[in-house]
Amino acid sequence: MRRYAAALLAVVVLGCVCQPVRGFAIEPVIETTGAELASMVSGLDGQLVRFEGEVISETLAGGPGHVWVNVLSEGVAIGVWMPAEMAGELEVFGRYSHTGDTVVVTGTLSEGCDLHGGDLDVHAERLELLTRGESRERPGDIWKLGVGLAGLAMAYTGWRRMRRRADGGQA
Amino acid sequence: MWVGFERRDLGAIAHYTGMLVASMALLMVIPLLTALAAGEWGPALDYACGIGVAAAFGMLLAQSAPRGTHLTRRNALIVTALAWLAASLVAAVPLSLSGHYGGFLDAFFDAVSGLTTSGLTLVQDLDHLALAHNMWRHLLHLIGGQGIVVAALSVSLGLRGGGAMSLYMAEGRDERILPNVMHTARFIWFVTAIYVTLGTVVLSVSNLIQGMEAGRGVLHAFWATVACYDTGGFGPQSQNALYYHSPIFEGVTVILMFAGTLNFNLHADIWRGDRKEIFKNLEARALAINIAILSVVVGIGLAATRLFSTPGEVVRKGLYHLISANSGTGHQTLYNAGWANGYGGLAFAAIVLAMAFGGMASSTAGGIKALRLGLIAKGVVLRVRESIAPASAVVRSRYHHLLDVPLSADVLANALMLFVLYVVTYISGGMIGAAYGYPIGEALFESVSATANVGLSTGITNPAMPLGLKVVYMLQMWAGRLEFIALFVLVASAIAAVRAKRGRA
Repeated sequence: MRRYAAALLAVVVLGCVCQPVRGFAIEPVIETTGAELASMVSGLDGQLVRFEGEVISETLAGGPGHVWVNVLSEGVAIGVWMPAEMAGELEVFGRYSHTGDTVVVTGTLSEGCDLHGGDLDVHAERLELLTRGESRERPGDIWKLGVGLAGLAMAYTGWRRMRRRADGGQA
Repeated sequence: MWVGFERRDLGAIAHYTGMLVASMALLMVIPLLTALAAGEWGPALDYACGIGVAAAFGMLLAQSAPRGTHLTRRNALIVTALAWLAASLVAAVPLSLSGHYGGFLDAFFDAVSGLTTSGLTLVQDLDHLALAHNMWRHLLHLIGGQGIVVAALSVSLGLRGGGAMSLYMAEGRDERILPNVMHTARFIWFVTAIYVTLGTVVLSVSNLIQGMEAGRGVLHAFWATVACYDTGGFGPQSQNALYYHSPIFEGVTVILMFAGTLNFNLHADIWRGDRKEIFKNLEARALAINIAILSVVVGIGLAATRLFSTPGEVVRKGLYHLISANSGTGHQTLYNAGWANGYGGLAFAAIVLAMAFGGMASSTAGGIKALRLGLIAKGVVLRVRESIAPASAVVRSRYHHLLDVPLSADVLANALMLFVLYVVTYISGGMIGAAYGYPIGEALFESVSATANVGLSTGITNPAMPLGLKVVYMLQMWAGRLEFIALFVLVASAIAAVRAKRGRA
């Protein structure tokens, strides 16, 4: 009887360890990119995904207690929906004058999100800040001003010549 | 009869083309001021250079003839065809200097796309583009949507006199809304100003509520309004309308796209208080039937994919993209790749048809136009009635478009001719895309989008696409915006000039 009880116990323990039980097992996270997520052939709809990218928007209103952040990854930007406190660390978003914060997003992809009117989005479960965004150096080329002024001088000369002709004077 | 050119013809063509090009220099002051206000010194220099180049090039051409030179109808068509190209060339200068384009051709592509209100783009790293460059890209929609000639007429830029009316008609405008062409041009701008102001105010409030910075929020609102009302399709962000995550944004932009596709004569009737015209007008009816049928088809197509779980999602996505396609705007809340891979064949086909059919004549929309489709449908019914009537019976048909008019053979032939020209161009562009190795469905989608000046894309249009295909799409956008005739007159006149030269030799 003891043997049967020990064997039964062993089966139950093994079953708990080996059989993935919903709520206990860790769902696999798939490393991906924005371009793959938006391809519609990734087969990742409803999957837990992780991708790295640059924040390119302010934290936009996303309903009670939530915000939207747009993240640019491999040339394709994805809308990421998250609790407002998760985005608390974000400071710099990418634009002409700045490179935005670089983040790693872990969340669930919806190719047609029921909560957000069918949008393709990711509902974030985790957001890690990799690097802080910074301002970008954009030096201007002064020769362009020279070309512009020369062009304006030529145009002015031409305009005066045209006016003289219209007034009956000599060209 | 093919008539060759005299020296004074060439002078007049160069003069008016030059005046239109010079007007681009004046308009570039707006992005220059935007750059200065935003502290974008690099882009400010790009526009300083662009202004100089446009002014010098324009004035050089304008000196070919004195001011007020008479312009014949043929020469007006040639000026219109050339001005759209020449204006695009100078508009591309600051864009190409931005460092966001693979080369001048790519910037030229975007300038043509902007002016023809197409919305296809080859810009790189759009999400980091300067405010000044975004201002210029959207201003191109505004100028192109109303018409370069209309823009120049409104500020009376040396276009008074004999040439004004010819130029106005040559730009694809069928009717004079007011007796005076200058007043007509100003009325078009008046209507535009009302929609742009209202749209900008409402979208600014929406953007600020969403949490955007004040300056960016207002600028984005202005650009979205211009791009939608002028049925353009450019956006300041790579996600286009999806960037804002706002149903209010989507709702307002749908209204603006719809307003942009209305004939300016209908806007005038609404302004005068004659709202009955909308319900009687053949073109309005044809557009309503077109949208109703294709909406159902898109809805069924999207629902069949099972990607969207609720009818609300299907309606929201389906209607937005159908209005976007039918109006020739090209704004989207779905990703490009989805058209080829995710949204099903039926929705794909319905969107292609909506793009091909287009909006109303004398609006900022492109495509075959609802009026022509309505006329052709009337013609088919007339022919059936003739077939079943007694041989001695005289069967006539009438239609209402601003006035009650009989359906004449000339009107029907003109509508059919343009229908055939559009369809041939759609198919030709699709076959060229297929020859470059793209799947025929996607190639056709892109070809229709370019010719009908829509801007929706399956992803074929990108900086890495073949150079030849870039040129083909530019030609399609140009020909589609001018509705072919001005382009044909240009080609025919060039051939006639070469023949005349050979004859003299």
